[in-house]
Parts: sequence; C-alpha cells; structure tokens
Amino acid sequence: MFSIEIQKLKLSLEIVPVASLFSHEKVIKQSANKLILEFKNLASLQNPIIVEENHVILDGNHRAYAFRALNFKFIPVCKIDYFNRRTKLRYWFRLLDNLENIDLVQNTIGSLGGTLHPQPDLGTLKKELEKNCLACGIQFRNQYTLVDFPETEACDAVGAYNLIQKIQDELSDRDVTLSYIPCNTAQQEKFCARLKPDQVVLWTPRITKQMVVDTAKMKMVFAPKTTRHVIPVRPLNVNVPGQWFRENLTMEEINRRFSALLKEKRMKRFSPGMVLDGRYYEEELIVFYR
Amino acid sequence: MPQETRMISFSAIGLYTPGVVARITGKIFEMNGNIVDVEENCRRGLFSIFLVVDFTASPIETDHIITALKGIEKEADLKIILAQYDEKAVTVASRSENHLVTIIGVDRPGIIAKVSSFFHSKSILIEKCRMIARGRFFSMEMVIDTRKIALEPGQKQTESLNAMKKELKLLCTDIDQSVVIQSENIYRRNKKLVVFDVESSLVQHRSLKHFIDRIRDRVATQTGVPESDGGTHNQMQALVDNARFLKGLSVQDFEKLNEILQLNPGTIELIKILKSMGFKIALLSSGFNFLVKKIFETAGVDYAFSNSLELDENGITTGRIEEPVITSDTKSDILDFIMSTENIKPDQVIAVGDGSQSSHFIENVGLSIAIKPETSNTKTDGVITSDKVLNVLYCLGMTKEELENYTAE
Repeated sequence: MFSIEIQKLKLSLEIVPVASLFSHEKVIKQSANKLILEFKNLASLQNPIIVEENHVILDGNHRAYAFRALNFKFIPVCKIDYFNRRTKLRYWFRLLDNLENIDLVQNTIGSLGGTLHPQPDLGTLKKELEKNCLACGIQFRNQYTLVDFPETEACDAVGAYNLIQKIQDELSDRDVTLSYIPCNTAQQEKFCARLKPDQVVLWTPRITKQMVVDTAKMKMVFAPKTTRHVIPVRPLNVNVPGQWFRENLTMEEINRRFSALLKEKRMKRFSPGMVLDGRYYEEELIVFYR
Repeated sequence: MPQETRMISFSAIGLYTPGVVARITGKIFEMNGNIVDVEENCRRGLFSIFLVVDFTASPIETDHIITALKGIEKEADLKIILAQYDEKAVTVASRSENHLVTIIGVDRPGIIAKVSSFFHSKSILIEKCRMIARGRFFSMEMVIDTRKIALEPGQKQTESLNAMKKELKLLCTDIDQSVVIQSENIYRRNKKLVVFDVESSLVQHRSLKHFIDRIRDRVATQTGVPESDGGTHNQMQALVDNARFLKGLSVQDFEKLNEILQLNPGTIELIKILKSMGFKIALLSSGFNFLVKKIFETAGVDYAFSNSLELDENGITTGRIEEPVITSDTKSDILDFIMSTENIKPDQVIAVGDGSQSSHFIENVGLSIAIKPETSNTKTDGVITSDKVLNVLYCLGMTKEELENYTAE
C-alpha cells in the first residue's frame, strides 16, 4: 500500500480484486462498451478509481465495469474517507432541451403518479428537496416546482431515481434532448438567466452518503448519472502497466510492483481549480510524474 | 574565367515570364550541369534566381558553358551575372551562428535601412530577408550570420552577441518596432508547448489595475489592506498574499469584478490558432483563477495553473487561499512539471510574459517573448512593444496572409 497524507486526509493507493468492488450506479452502456474496447489493448491505466473503505466505488464505475468485462482480476484504487466533510456528494441534474412546451414534462410526470407543488423561488425549492430526499424538482424559466411521488412508485432512493430515468426516457422518445449538468450549475445566476424557453432542468433527489453506501452494499444500484462525487484530493497519472492485469500475478506481487512504481516517481501537489490535459479539476490534485 | 574552374554561380534578375525557370535549368541540364544550390524568388512580378552549378562532369568547355548561359540574358530578358565559385568557402561555412530576427510594427520609412546599417556596423551578414507582412502593418524576417561579429578588445563572441541583441532591442524600441531574435538552431527545433504568464501577457494592463482598485474599494472597510510597491503584477501578488482581507466576498461578487478584466486583443484567437497548429497551451498565473477559468472555457487549453480562494458551503470566501499557493517563484517548477509530463525539452517551449520578476520563468526556454515589458532591459529573446498578442505568430514564421486565413476560419 502506498499512503499519502495531506491536511489530515489519508489516501491509500493499492491494487484490489475487482470482485471486491461495489457499484452504486448502473453504467451507461455506450460509454462502458467504448471503454471495454479501449482497455482490450490497455497500455497503462492512467488514474486509479476512487473507493471508500468498504470498496464502494465513488468515481470510476465505468472503468471498473470494463475491468470486470475483460476478466481482469485486479484494479488500482485510491481509498478515501467518504464521510470526511471534504468529500462532497453532489448530483447530476437533467437538462431537457427542445421541448415544445412545459405541459409535456408535467403530463409525463402526472402519468407516473407524480404531484406538482409550485414553489415561490429557487431557494425554497432547494430547501424542500433537502427535507424530502425522494422528491425531485422542475426549473422552467423562473418557475420552480417540487414533484413528489406516492410511496407505491418511489419507496426508496433507488426507486426515486428509477422514476427520473423513466421520465427522461419517455421524453427522449418525444424528441426531447437530454444532457447532464452538475447540480451547482443550475443554481448559478448566470445559468438561470441563460435558460431558454424550450429548456427545463429536472432537479434530481438529494440522496445521502449513507444511502449510497447502504444501497451498494445491498448490491442494488441507482440509475446512471445519479451521484457526482467531489473528491478532496485526486491522485493522477499513476500509469499502471496494462500488462500487469493480463499476467497471472498474486495480489501481493502486483501490490509490491505498484508501490515500487509509485516510489520511483515524483509527486506534485496542486490546489483545486487547475486544468491538466485539457480537463478542469475542482479538487486538489496529486500528480505523479517522472 | 580560367578553363579549369568547373563550379559556376549564376544570378539573374528581371521581370517574371512564364517558363523562365524551366528555360534556365533546361539549358544547364543540356550541358550536363548539376545544380548544387538554388534560391528563387518571384514577388510582385519581379523575378530573381541564384544558382550554384557543378559542371565538373560536363564534356563542354567552360567558355562555351559561360557563353551559353549568358545567352539566356537576351532570350529571357534578364540581367545575368556569372562568376566562378569557390567551393571551399561553402564547405568551411558553419551554420551554427545563424539567428533569425523578426521585426514587427507599424510600417514607416527607414526600418530596413536602420536595421541593415546596424548589422553592417557589427560585421554581421544578412543571409536572407523576407517580408512577412506589408501595408500599414509591417513584419520582416532576417536570417543573419554572426560568425564574424565585431568584437571589442577582450570581448568573447557570446558577450558580443548578447550586447548586439540588447542594442538591437533598443534600436527597434526607438523606431517603434517589436523585435524577436532566435538562434536558428533552436528556431528550427520543432516547438511543442506555448506557455503564457497570464497577468503579464494576456490581460490588459489598465483593466488589471481597475480590477485591483475595485477589490481594494470593496474591502476598504477592512483596515490594513496592504499597499504594494511596483507594478500591477506585484499588487495582484499582494492581494493573493493577503487574501484574508477578501473574507466575506461571494463568488458572485468575484464574478462581477472579474468582468472588469479584459484580455489583450487577439488573445482567444491566438490560443485557438496555436492549438490548430498543434501546440500544447499552458497558462500560468500567480493571481486568482477566475480569469484563467474564463480563458479555459472560451478557448480551451491543455494546462492552466492559478490560485483559488477557499469558499465555504455557501460560496463565500473564507479569506484563505487553497494550498499550495502559486507565486512568481513557483512558476518555473510548474513549467518543469509540464515539460516532464509532456516529455519535451526547454528548447521546444515558447514562453510569453513581460520579462519582469513575475514571469522570469520565461527566460530559459527555446523562445521567450516579452509583451510590453515594463523595462527595456529584458533578458528575453524578443520584445513585442504593443498589446497585439497575435504578433507572436509572426515569430513562428506565419505570414500576414496565413494569419488572415486563420482568423477568417
């Protein structure tokens, strides 16, 4: 195991059996298949997946899925303290575009048993969603609506997200285009001002960290794009040779190699808000390099 | 010309006529001559060609060859000069002392005369001269050979070369021109990364000052807001160093303040063009990340490093900067990190700043360019005296027409 401690936060880098991992979300098939193809001739795995102490995957679900599909026995992980306040659980909201009118969304929700409760403003909607973690919301122009479903339709968080999936699937069949946006984006003034008349934001249920762990350990999964974890410190560029996963190594041997590999490299720490390799990172980074 | 001389130099000038090159080279071929060097130019209907031809293997006597070549003068209406050529002079010549000089600015009479007289006074040979842009805007590229540069008593060649670069920068500043001097060896090395010091090269100086003043006003109720000596970059650094005074400002406050900051004209286009040319782009800033993020979101870059204010759950600044803090001193380390990650050497890096303390990291790379430096004594390869950052492209050999095509796209 290779450990790094930064501001009282411990990161443990190690290689664990793929079979020991728990997913908490379904994968998006297209993305997963693309990764499987890519990993077939894997030269090196650039970044470890992020897991909590019970091996529930917080970031890297698709990579883990591809490793499983390719029958690789082991996978590099970075274990972090999920319940540390600096590890943040955020959500993906759904941006529905190209809508003829809001009735289409309201009718779809109605057909699934949902009830609409208009709210005076964004702040109130946010507070109501905090109170009811199985409810969702609609943001259309400057109108905000709380949506709740009867227990028969959404008895738990997984069920609530399954309803979101149903809503977006039904709307996609009606030529509505779907994209995923970080939940904090939808609350920014600039974003609200730019929202077009044919766009609606679907606010997803605010589940908790405990719900994520419990669901995964019960081997249940949420709909794809449920959680968006902001990791306090993200290790990058460990670059584990792909060949190691194809060799018949023991866990001790692969971990011995992994520690030696990391010890050979230099590390550079960067504060949040940096761009590396064309990607913006809102978390602190530890980058390995030679 | 003595009969035994078999290497002939051939120079011709005149008005261009279709087929003129074919006529000349065809005649040489007929006489079994081998062209060992050639340079041909055709600009605005004017034609010039310079050839070195080896007739050693030709069965024809040299006098007859000379007569035949001279005969082209009337046939093609050209002025032709023929001479024997000393091959040793070519083989002895070393190319290691060549430099590429790019001069950029608003056109005015006397630029070429002043620069060429300067080189003459230093015993520097102008090997090639090419106009890159003409019109109201002027840009010229010169390849100079400094092997025989004039030396003061006791002066080493490198010292003389450095002194010449300094003097040339001063001369160009006097005639309101920007100048960039690159070693040709390094110029020819394929460049891969362009790194910008954001505050000193991409942000309009006036808007940066306004931004700093507004932040000062915003936190005026706090006592002890540090006054800083020096330029705006130092003041920005002072703000970062004293972030505690910014405690209580919201992200929205900063976003509004951020709108004050204006990029130098052409910044986004420059980054987009450099990217389309295959360069990796890096932004380094010892200021706050709001502006860097804006450039990243608009133009897309490969690397961007700057400072982030720590925010609480409600998006309010806590008065602390997220660690590790980027300062003028740590920028060199970051550049080393990028070069290691990309596996590139310093020679393959172009760095743009203002050459001041805040961007001193730009000095040890393949090509360093100072944009509007605060002093005339910068140690960079080049100085661009205006805020037109697109001029950087002329230093990469891009012509005005090519630049216009890029910007039109």
